[in-house]
Amino acid sequence: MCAKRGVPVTRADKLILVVVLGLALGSFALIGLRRAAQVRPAEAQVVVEVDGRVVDMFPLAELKPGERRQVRGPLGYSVIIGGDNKVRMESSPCPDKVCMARGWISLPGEAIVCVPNHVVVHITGSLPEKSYDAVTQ
Amino acid sequence: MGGQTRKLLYLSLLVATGTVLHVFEGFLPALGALPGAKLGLANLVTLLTLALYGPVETWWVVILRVLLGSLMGGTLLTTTFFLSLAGALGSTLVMLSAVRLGRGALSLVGISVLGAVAHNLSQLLMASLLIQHLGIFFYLPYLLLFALPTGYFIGITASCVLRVFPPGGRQGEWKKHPVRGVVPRAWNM
Repeated sequence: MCAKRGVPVTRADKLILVVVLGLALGSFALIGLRRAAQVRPAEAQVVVEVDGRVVDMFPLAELKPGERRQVRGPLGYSVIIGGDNKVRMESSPCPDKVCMARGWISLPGEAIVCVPNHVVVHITGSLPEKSYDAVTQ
Repeated sequence: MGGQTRKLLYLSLLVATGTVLHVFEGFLPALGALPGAKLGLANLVTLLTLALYGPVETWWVVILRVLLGSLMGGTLLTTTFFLSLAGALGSTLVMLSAVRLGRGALSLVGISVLGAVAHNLSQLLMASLLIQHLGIFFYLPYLLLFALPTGYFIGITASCVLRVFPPGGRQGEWKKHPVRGVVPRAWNM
């Protein structure tokens, strides 16, 4: 009823909408490209941090499917569980469970972050020298 | 009713409305794996204060709203509180700057979208400070995409409310107001 009488959306407003949309889509494209270019390196490491301090670090390949590790944060124990060359947060004492909803991570640069329990699980590993079989020019 | 009393009354109403919206929004469940992706209902009140009054009043309403809302929602001095505070302060700073720098080119819709983006950015900044890790900026693209529709609709809602909210606005003055489409000085301040 109000919108019918013309909501004042100015040219500058539209510019802002387009720029934000462009930034969002651009960063999605960047993430996608990076992921597509990435090959899972054999030496990928799982790094577990609490309050910015590394409390645990082990090769991703070492964590067998179903194997659990506990991390102690200010709220209690967060439990991570391994899969087939991947890892996810199985349980967490935080109220929102955002870290559990993040699901599996397996590639270098990916991270599970639990803000309330101050726990960060991320994967490192050098990028492979060559990500493509061949490049045509 | 005197101008000052009237102003105090309306600012109190804005703080009260903001507090209720803040608490109500806290009751809404988190959207899947997107922390911080929310409607920004309380920003409606910030936009109204910013359009009807000035920067000083806006800061008062925002800070009181966050304090009272967190107190009533039971999140005072928890992680949630610091995230709310960072988001509210960041978005208010950006929205007030947008009003000043925009010089009438922006309407409440553009200001609201900028505020939503700033809210997300400052929340992620606060979150990365709390956990001492920048990995959380991974969420930024998702949040940006979400900020567009929410910021847009909150902005539209604010302009709609402004059309009926200030009784007896002086129509001729709107061009002088720093926000496009806003009728200023609805009541004697």
